[in-house]
Amino acid sequence: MTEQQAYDALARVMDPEIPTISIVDLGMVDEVRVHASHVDVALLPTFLGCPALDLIEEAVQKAMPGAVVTFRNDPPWSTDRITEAGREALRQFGVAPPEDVVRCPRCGTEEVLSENLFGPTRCRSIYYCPACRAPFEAFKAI
Amino acid sequence: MTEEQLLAAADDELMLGHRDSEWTGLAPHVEADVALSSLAQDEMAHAAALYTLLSPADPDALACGREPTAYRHAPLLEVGGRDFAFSVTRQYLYDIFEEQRIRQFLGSGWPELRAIAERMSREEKYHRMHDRALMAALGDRLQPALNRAWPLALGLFEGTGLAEAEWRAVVVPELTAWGLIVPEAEPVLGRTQHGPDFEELWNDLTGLFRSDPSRHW
Repeated sequence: MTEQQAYDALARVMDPEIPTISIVDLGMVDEVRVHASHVDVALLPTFLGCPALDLIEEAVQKAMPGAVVTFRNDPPWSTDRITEAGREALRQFGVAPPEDVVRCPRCGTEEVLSENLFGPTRCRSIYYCPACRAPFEAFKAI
Repeated sequence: MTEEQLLAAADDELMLGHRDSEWTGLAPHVEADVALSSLAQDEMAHAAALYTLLSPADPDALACGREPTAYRHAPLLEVGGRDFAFSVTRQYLYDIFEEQRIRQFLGSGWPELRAIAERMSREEKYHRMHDRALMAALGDRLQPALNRAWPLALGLFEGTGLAEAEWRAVVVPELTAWGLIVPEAEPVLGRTQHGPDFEELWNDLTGLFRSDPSRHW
């Protein structure tokens, strides 16, 4: 297996809570090392103690049998690591990507109301879009 | 930065996380419920990261396997009961203290601790925004809660090497602006001796772990 093939396999591993975004587009992959016998994958957890880590590890091993997954906190993950494709994938899922100005993922307006800085998962806040007359979630900018 | 100080930090986070989690399903309105549940998860996760740093082989045993007298949290964090105003006020006073503590971690000579502190710091800014919005909205209705929480909050500093004056410089002007009167009180110390609220908390928090310490959760 080449490094490119390993990255291609990882690009098919989706976040368990936001199934439109891959762990590559989330910026979770810190290092990939291809050995003759197996592949080492070092991932950066998005939030400290994120409860989805076990699921992600399992999914990586399914995509790349024999992969050895480790998690590291250094360098610290930040929402700046989410790729442009990843930001689009978040919008597709109805979640506003992390930006200084929160925009409605449906109509794009900045005229939105903050409902709750916290949400259904630790990485998301809740907003309301008066134009769409609907609530939406936004990825916290951390 | 000593291991004892780090253990105190982990215990503070664990106890607050546990107390916040007790509001899940019971907070006065749904948004507060969501927020407190999320705050609880954050504090628990921060505790887990610190316990893992202190005891990489078995963080669960460190978190849940000690006798009550071996815990090092401040008395503020063990207070239970269904007092929402107290919970809001405690969270604010503690989160400002924690901001200072995270700066201390960021200045430590321990790279793994600095990396964790960096992550905590980014998550905690949401805590403070939330705390301040609630404190401002509730204003002087929080006076009885502040009177109760204040001496306990002063006790946070015991043994931490952090300057209370630095914390006061932030919280006193803010509390005053929200229409609250800052009480004059002596700190309630007790990182090494805990009250009846902790007995109940400890039983609840560690009971499952103690029922089978060899099990991996």
